[in-house]
Amino acid sequence: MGVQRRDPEALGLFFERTFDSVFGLAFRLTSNRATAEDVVQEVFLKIHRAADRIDPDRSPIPWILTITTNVCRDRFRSGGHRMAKSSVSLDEEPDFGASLIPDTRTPEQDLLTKERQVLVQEAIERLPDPLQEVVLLHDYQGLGHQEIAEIVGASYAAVRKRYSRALAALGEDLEDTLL
Amino acid sequence: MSHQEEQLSPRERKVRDLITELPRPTASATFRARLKEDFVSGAILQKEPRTRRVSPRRAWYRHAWAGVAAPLAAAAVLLLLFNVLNRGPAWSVVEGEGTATIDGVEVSLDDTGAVNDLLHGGVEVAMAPGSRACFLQEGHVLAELKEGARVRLPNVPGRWINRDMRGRVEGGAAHWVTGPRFPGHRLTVETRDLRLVVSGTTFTVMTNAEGTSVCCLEGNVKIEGLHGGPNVVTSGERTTILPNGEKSEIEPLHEGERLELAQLKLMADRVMGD
Repeated sequence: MGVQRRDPEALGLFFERTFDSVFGLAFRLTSNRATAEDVVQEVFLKIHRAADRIDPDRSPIPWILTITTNVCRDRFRSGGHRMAKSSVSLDEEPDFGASLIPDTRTPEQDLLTKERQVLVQEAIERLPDPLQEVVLLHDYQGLGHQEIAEIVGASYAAVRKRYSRALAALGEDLEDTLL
Repeated sequence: MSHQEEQLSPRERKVRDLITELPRPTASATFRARLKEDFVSGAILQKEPRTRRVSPRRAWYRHAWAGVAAPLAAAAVLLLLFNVLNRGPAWSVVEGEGTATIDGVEVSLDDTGAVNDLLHGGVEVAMAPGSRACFLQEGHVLAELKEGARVRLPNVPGRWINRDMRGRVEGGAAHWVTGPRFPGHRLTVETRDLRLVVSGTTFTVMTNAEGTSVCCLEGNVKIEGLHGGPNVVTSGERTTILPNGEKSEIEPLHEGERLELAQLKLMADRVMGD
C-alpha cells in the first residue's frame, strides 16, 4: 500500500478520503474553528508518523477517529480549550447554515433553522465529554456502538448506556425550546 | 446502520433527528490545501513543537550596579505589567468570506490566521466586492463589514484607563453591536459627515456620496456634528444625514435593516454572551 511507503500520490488520496471526517468531528467536539484546525493538523501529523503501521485490509476511519477523539480529549484537559470555545461561534463557517437551507425559504425561516442548529450544538456542548463523544460518533458520524466502543476504549454496554444517557440529557435540555 | 440498533422512544428519536440534521462544517480551502501539501510532502513533520533551549542563569544580582538598577527595573516591570493588564482584548475575525485589504495587504478572509496577524486597533480595512466579514473585540464590540466598506476599526480600549474607542467609516456599510463587557466604555464612530457616540447599542452606519445613514436596533445613538447640536436616534429608528450637515426626518427602520441587525445581534449574543 502506497500510504505505508508514504508515497505522495497515495498520501494525497488518503488525505482526501479522510479529511472531512476528521475536520467534522474535531469541529463538533471543540465548537471552535481555530482549535479544530489545530486538532486536525495534529491528527494528520500522527497519521504521517504511523503511516507504515496502517493495516491496508481495514478501513482507517475508526483508527483516525480514535486519534481525533484522543487529541480533542487532550485539548479538553488543557485550560485553553474552554476559553477558546467561548470566544468563537459556529457562525465562523461562512456558509454554515446556508448549506442546508433550501433556496425557497424566507430569511426568517433561515434564521429559525440556524437558531435551532445552534441550540442543538450548545446543548451537545453542555454534555459531559464522554457522553458528547459517544453521541457525536453515533448520530453525527454514523458509527455503531461496537465501533465507538473500540474508539473510546470502553465496553459495548458502557457505550450503549452513555448514548442513552446523552439522549435523555439532551431531551431534557431541549424540552422547552425544540421538543 | 447503527441507528437500527436502537429501540428509541419517540422523544429520543426526535433528539437523534435534531443531531443528524446538524450541517457538516467545511474547513477553509486555504487551510485544507496547506495541510494537504504539508502532509503529502512530509513537511508536517517539521511543524512539531520544538523544545526551547534554556540558557544558564546568570547571577546578575551579585553585581554592584544591581542595587540601583533593580528598583528601576522593578518599577519598569510593574509599569509594563500594568499596561499589559490594562490592555483590552485584541481584534480577531470570527467569520469571513471573500477578500479584504488590511493595512494595504490583500488577504483572503477565510484564512483566519493570516487575517488575525494583520489586525490591530486602528487598522484600516477595505472590503472587496462580494466580501463580508465579522470582526470581534471579545466582549466589547462585534463589527460586520459588507462589500465596499472602508473602515478604520476602533482602537483596543484599556480596562481601567483610556477606555474610549474611536473608529471611522470612510464608505460602505458597517454594522456594530456592543457586548456585555462594553458598559463603562464609549464608542465613537466617525464618518465624513458626522460623529456617532454610543454607550451600548446595536446600530448600522452607511456612508456614500449622498450622505450617512444611521439605523438603530436597540439603545440609542447620539449624532454629533450637525447643525443645531446633538441629535439622538433611538431603538427602531433610522435617519440620513446629508453631506451639508442637514438631517432628514427620523423614520422607522426598514424591514431589511431590522432583520440584518437582529441577525447580527443574535450572533453577537452567541459570540460574546448576553
